[in-house]
Amino acid sequence: MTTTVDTHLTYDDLLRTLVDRDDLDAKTRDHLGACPRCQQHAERLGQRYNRLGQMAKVLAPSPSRPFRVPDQRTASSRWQFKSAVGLGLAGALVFFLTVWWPQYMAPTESARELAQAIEADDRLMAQIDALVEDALPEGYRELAMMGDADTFDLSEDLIDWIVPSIEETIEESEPIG
Amino acid sequence: MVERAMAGDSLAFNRLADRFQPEIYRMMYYRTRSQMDAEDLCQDVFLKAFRSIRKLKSAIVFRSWLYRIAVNRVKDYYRRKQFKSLFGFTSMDEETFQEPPEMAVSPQGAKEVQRKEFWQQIRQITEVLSKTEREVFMLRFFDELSIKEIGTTLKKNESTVKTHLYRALDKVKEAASGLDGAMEALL
Repeated sequence: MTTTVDTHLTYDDLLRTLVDRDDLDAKTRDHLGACPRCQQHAERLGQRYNRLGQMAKVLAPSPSRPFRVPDQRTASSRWQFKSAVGLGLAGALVFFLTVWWPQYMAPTESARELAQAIEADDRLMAQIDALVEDALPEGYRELAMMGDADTFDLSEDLIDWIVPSIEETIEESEPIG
Repeated sequence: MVERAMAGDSLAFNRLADRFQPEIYRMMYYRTRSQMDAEDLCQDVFLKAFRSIRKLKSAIVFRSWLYRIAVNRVKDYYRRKQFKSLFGFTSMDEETFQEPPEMAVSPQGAKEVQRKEFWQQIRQITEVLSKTEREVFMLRFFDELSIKEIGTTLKKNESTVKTHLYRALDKVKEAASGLDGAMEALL
């Protein structure tokens, strides 16, 4: 096989060898297999890019802390602790909302209501007592002259005067003698 | 080892972390240029991997699967940063974010200067790439994943990965030719 100048690999071909030598067409691949010059060029190009990676690797720092799988037991116990704290807080919240808070709020309301109820009861009892003492309303009481019995003790006489008894009426109407 | 970790063996997973943490950390550093962020993201990746390793279908694809978690974590990192900058929480340009000097490793020494120059030039040559091209390029030459692994990581078929990689190489060569110094000589 002859390797002439005009069949040497172009730069594009060399780049293709860098990507994948198998992707070259058969003719070019055959030439590359037989031409030491093209082989050298392809090799040199590959080395350049590899050197780029090597230089990057040399100039890159190293990790300072190695990775370690998180301790399952620690994670588990931490989770359990968090769960316990969470449950405790939830319990405290439930207690607060169902027991303490109503108790805290209720006394203020019931004391006020209780005071109002006692007051209403007292008023009612006073009215009842007043009715027991005297069932007639004020206006009727004056009309009936049944105000103060001690100061105005004319009831019998007044009634007798207004409505005389039958006996008295007869006695008065009978002729004397 | 992967199978033991998949079965719930924590020690086996720790061994896997010891094996893969340096490269995942580097991967994060290449994309964030911040040691602190790379450290945090790396821890996140392994924690997520540990929590979901039971879902892994085959032990063979563990490395690609790990890189997929890492790539997604980086995307998420930038998305969050972008969201924060949108609301004024940070003024950093996410795609070009670089660690400020006080956050970076001590700037003393030639290595540090070299590191800064190197990453500055890498930034210059990769900023001409699309996001996918950049990711494929980084995964291939910086993280040293095979085409197949890149396909699994990015959930793309191999021919799509190759196309992106070829375009990326073409653009990188163009971008590198405009650079002075070591990078031009390198590429």
